Amino acid sequence: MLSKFFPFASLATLLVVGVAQYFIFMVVPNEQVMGAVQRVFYFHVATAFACYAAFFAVFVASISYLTTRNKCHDIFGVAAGEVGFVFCTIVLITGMIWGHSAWNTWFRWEEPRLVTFLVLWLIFLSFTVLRNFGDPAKTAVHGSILGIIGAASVPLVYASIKLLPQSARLHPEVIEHGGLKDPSYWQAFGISVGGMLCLCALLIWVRYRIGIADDRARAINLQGDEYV
Amino acid sequence: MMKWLSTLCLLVQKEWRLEWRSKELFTLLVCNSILFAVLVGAGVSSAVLDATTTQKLFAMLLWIVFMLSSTTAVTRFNEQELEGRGFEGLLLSGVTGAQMYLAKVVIMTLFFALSFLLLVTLLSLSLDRNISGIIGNLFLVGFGASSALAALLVLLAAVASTSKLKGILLPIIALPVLFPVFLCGMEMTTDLVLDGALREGSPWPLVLVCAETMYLVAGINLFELAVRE
Repeated sequence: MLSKFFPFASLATLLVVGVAQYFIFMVVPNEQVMGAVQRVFYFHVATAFACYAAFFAVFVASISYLTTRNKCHDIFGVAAGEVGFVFCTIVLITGMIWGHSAWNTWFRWEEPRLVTFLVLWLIFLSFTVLRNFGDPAKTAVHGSILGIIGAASVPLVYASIKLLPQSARLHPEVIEHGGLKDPSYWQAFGISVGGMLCLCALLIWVRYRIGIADDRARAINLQGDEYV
Repeated sequence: MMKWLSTLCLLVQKEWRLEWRSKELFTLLVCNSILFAVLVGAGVSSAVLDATTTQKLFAMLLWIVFMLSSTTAVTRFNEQELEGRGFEGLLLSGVTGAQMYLAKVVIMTLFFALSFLLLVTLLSLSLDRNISGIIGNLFLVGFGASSALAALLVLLAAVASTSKLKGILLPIIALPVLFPVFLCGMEMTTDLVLDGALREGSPWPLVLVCAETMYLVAGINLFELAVRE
């Protein structure tokens, strides 16, 4: 039923992402201190939002699978986990590119927000590893358990790293301190966040469809084996 | 309620006897503690660090070693029940997953706290640090972290033990989630080592309590799902 809308959703996402690129590269003026590198901010923050959304999706799908035992919910959780892992990697890479330009180093261990995302990346990685190397008969249940614990611990990881001494914070808090002065900055920021959220949702949908098809193929194979 | 508690006590006794018979957890914790303390001592010695730097590094090294030695030692914690279908038997006899889980957490906390004490002693000897004045407070911090560690590892050991990678998977899935516990332990130990007492108004004990509560709630609700089927 929903698959009918897939081409429209793909086109809409492509459109929003395209408009976001136009705003980022053609409309937004160069930032005074950092110059063109500041444009990484729009990809970096937008993918971070998408990453949190994917974590939330994993959490909901895991609880939903454990309560209903509906295979589709498990496949959705796997899809959200894998896409979230990719987005988390992008957050780290774009952050490193920006950090190298701003701080002249790729990674700063004394910067809490960078470390937070590294830990989130590790949680996503562990989720993906468990999905691939877990007991095949129990992977869905075990993956859901890790999905719940991993996602539930995200606020705690974030809060605990924020509690580290104030002097250690180097990460710019652009939005909290009202740093986006030019209206075009806000427009580009809003559209890029929207675009990345749409892209994340679309990729989860694609991965979910692959998962469903894979599950059906396995079922057909099993039936074939029984027939032989 | 009393029946529930008496069943829990019986399960704690069962866990204790099981460990007493196999001595696997005890042996692995002691061996890991000694091995890691020797490696850290040798590494710090070859780096020719001065006394002040070593003092600053003490908390960090202690917690890295403790977390690694604990997560690698519990890789076979549920193996005996899984091999002998002990979980199935207990569930059929009316024991709940929460009772099984809590009994394991109690025993594992005890062993972790003891291994923490051993590790603190070994590392203080190996790094030549005098910690006699803070050993009581350090043990309290270690006990708190041990219970949080046990609350999560009992659950995740059940998840990892049936995987293709067996116990090797446990550190990979547990350590990222345990990051807040690592930070709490390290920050509180740094306060103790450098100032002799916890900083006034330190938020870390509260974070540790939050982490432990979260792991316990998750474990009580999910352990049965992890071992059943």
